[in-house]
Amino acid sequence: MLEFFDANCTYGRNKTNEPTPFPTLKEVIEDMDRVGVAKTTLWHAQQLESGWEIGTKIILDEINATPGAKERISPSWCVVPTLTGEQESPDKILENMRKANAGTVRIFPEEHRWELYPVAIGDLFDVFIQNHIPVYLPANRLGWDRIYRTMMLFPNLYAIVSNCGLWGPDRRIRPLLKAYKNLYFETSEYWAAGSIADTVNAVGPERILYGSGAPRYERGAMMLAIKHADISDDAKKLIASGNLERLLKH
Amino acid sequence: MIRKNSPLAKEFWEKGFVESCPVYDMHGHMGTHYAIYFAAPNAPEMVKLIKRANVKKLCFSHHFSLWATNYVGQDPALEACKQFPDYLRFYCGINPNFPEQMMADLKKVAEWMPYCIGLKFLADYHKIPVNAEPYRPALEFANALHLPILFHTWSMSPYDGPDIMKDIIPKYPNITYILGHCFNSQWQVAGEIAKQYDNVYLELTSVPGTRGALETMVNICGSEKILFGTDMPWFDEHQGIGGLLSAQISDDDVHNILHRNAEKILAPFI
Repeated sequence: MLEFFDANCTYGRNKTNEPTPFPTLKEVIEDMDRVGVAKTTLWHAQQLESGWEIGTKIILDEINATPGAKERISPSWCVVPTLTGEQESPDKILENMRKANAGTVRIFPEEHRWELYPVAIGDLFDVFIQNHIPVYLPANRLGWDRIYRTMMLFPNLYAIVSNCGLWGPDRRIRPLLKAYKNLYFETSEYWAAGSIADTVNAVGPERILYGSGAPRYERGAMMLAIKHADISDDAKKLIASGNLERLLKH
Repeated sequence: MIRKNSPLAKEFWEKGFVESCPVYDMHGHMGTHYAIYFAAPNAPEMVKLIKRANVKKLCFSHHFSLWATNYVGQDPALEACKQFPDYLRFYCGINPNFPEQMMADLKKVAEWMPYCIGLKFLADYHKIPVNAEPYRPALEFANALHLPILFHTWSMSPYDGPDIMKDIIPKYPNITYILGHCFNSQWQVAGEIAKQYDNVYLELTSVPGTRGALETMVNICGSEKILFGTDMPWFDEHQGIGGLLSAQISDDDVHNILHRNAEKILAPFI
């Protein structure tokens, strides 16, 4: 039995009320049940658009109000630099994340107007590194140059590179996997023929995470690609859910 | 399990292929590429991969025929088909920026059959609208021989977008139009064009997995007008099939898309 833990999913209405298949948590869970996904990490459109405070409150309130959600939804926390005093201290953020069972962090430095440098975010990232809390680095938002620079500045960061782009990203992701032992990537746009098996053969299966990119993408597409990749059953289990479960245990 | 209560999805899930539902991949490529590392760029490894999904035929155009047209021509594609005649067919890559090469290739298409099944236009990359003069000889040629042409098509493109295609389709009525990528993101327009013309098919490369796209097109033009494709080696056969099975369409629709429609088009070449 292959259990899937989705490492890349978002939901919620944005400010222009664009149609979305996942306006609320109810639709997220219905879609998980439809295709057979056990768990997911999740961030809310309002974490990006309205910011860390209300966006994170919306997702936590919905999880608390939705039966069965706590066991299946791992919310992402959203942070900005703490030096302005608008957010709690790094230790308090960690405490709140643990209370809410939030295992990952989403950042939007471009949209939230801050810089990915130690003087801005170093205190928070130090706490995340010490506590093995992964931070998403979406290639579609940050760009690869900023991802490379971030990893040079924070080489021990637990990072999940997401949204790698449909034009095969191996020339960009392989050097990062080789250089940074705590860096992972998710599969929502990792569509190239035979690429999963090829990467497993090159660097092992331990740092590949099943991600769907839902709701933009259907969850089942990469599920079938992982299920029938030319790799061992143990490697499939790690990619489908084992690696993310291990990563979130800390 | 992707699609509940579907014997087809269950079998694909468990085995990776279905004997009674072969796959015809109508949009592939081959060869290394300047911008992408491919794990399986050449014929032997590609054929090994497509066999896992019971792909009966992969119809491709070689990257080199499209990017290095006047240096390489169609030889690598022809050689690959001769090496794997049970699995491979090719489209003659047309680049009208090199008219002499184009005319020379067109003259050989008949002798390359049945390995060669038609032409491939990549107008967005070659930067010439398909209704412009440089493409006319190739269109007239395909029209005279009743050949399929696989067009790269893209949303709002001034080279192969919906308005351009609507301009040429009535002028060359004997061509089988295969609209690659379904005008990516203009799903409704794609469906309407395929519904309007009997000889127009939509080809799904990069579409399966994109939520809602397939349902929109199937609802407008029916699954009888839709062909499966992956851009192999750009995208994995199982990713595409997984996306197809995830869409909220019927198993009968999936059969049409994966093999029935292609079997009709390819009948003269198999």
